[in-house]
Amino acid sequence: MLLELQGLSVSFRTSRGQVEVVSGLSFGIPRGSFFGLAGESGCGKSLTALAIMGLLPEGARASGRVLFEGTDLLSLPPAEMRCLRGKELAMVFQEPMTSLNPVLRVGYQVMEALLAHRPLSKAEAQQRAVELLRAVRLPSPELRLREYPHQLSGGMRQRVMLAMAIACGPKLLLADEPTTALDVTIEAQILELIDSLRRQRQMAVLLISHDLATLAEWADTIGVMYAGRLMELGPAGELFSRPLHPYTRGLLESLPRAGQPLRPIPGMVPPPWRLPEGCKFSDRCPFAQQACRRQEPELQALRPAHAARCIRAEELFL
Amino acid sequence: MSTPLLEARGLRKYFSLRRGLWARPMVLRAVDGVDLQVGKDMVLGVVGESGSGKSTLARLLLALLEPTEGDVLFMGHSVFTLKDELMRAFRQAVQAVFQDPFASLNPRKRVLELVGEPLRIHALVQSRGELLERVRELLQAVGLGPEALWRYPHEFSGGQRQRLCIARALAVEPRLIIADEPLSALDVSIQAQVLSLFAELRRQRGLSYVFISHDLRVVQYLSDTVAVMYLGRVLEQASREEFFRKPLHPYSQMLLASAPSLEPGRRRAVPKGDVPSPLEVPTGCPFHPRCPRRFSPCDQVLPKLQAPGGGGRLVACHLYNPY
Repeated sequence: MLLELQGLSVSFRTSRGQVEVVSGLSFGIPRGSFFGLAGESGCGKSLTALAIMGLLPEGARASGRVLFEGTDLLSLPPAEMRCLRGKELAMVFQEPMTSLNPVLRVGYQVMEALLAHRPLSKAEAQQRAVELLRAVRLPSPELRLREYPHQLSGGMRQRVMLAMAIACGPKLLLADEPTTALDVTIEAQILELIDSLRRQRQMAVLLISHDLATLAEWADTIGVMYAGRLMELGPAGELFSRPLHPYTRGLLESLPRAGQPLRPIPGMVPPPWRLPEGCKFSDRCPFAQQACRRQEPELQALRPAHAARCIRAEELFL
Repeated sequence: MSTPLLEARGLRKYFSLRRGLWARPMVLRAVDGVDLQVGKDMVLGVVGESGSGKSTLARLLLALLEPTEGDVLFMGHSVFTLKDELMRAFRQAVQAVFQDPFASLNPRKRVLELVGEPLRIHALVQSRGELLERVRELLQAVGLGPEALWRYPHEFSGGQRQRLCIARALAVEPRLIIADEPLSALDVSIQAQVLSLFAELRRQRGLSYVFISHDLRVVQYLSDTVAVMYLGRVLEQASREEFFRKPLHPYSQMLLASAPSLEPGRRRAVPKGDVPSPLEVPTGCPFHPRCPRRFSPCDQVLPKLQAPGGGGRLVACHLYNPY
């Protein structure tokens, strides 16, 4: 396992006391694999990525273990984490415009990513930057190096972000909704690019998205989060075609399909300080029973490599 | 055919942009010759990527922007010269729902004022009691409880705010709602809720919509007619059934092929080329640089939106129409 989360929790100190927003998350990402993390806003998927990167905001506390090649990243001193970040683990974010510095040329920013972890001469760095931009299929890379971010389209900016992320050959790329700000036709291009970089460079990918259909296309394994918990974890194709958790099923039925009635999940995600007792989805679940509200179910394996946090999954969906 | 409710005729909107103090102003052709008709009890879905001009089109149809050329007709009258009575009738008949429900509601007003405001402006209620009752009914129609009356917008989630915007649009009993990406700021499960609300309101009230979205799945769910926009022009217009069974324009085909597949194990096609800037519209067919089927006339001659073989569906492509 390249990355293994063991009971990762993230909490914030607020006026309501300590509030847990990610709770006991455990899953593993093998070397070179493609893991998809799904969930709606506020489910804790972005904080999970930030916790792995050691980039949690002020006031957030992570507990549990984040094992990267056997080393617990949470107990690593900040200086050592800084050496790993960018070199071994890299991340791209949703909005490429806010991630790039608007007053610096693209070339400078890509070279900065290169020079942060290894000494290179300016000419070498420039040559490497051109190679990187070519690797992310940015047209005419020599010219682009001298441009500013605002001169590029959204898709091109995300390519530049990817070039910076892969600059030092990371073993794990975290991508948090990298295509949400892009058009559909460009979205497909960026996802295909991420997947081909993964294959060429044996780099594992953790893709975070609210769109299960997109994850099912690219990921090997998908985890579905709700209220800070992993509700279902399984092989992408199977999870998409035969989901085991009512929440996953609800998400899939929320996608409009021709000639089929829409069956939205009723209600909305409660705030983390007002979660129901027992199963955290029980207040919105059409299948909830007394027992569901009494005790929170464990994530249990029901098919090979496919687990769900639901006491009724077996009787309902198997 | 009787007079349509709302009609766009040869609609163009150009913006002049100055990039830098001494630079020559550039012309951005946001909408470049659009003809559309929206009839009674009809949902027109407009799809397009960013820069296709769909939001500018929405603002023109709402008479919030003056066109550079062309006209928008409301029951046969130009909306840009409407006076008093007719203008009020237009503002009552045609309402808007926008993308960002956080920006569309005044944060200092309570729900009662927000939803009740159009009722007061159009003098549709006589007393405060009547106002309260109407606003309660409207809240119920969009799935919100009466306790919402006294709350401020910040106390609601994104989906609930969009419901408030819809309630406000419904207040004056419009005949047409122009909705510009009303779902794209919402979460997947909430999108489904709001989408079914749009469908249900249409069934109950016989509303017409111009529903603008980048999401083909949404358009397919709700629309009767689909119009595909690209760089300010309509490239194809067809009934939903025809369009999704067999899209004619190569761009429509590309859009459909690049939408995420809902069949497990199937990957979408990866189209080539970047979305061009509306500041640099290619000559000839605006889509030709990305088109896999372009041939000799495409980079020279602009194809007209025509009905090949005289059918009801329209397509602007040299593959189907003689040039």
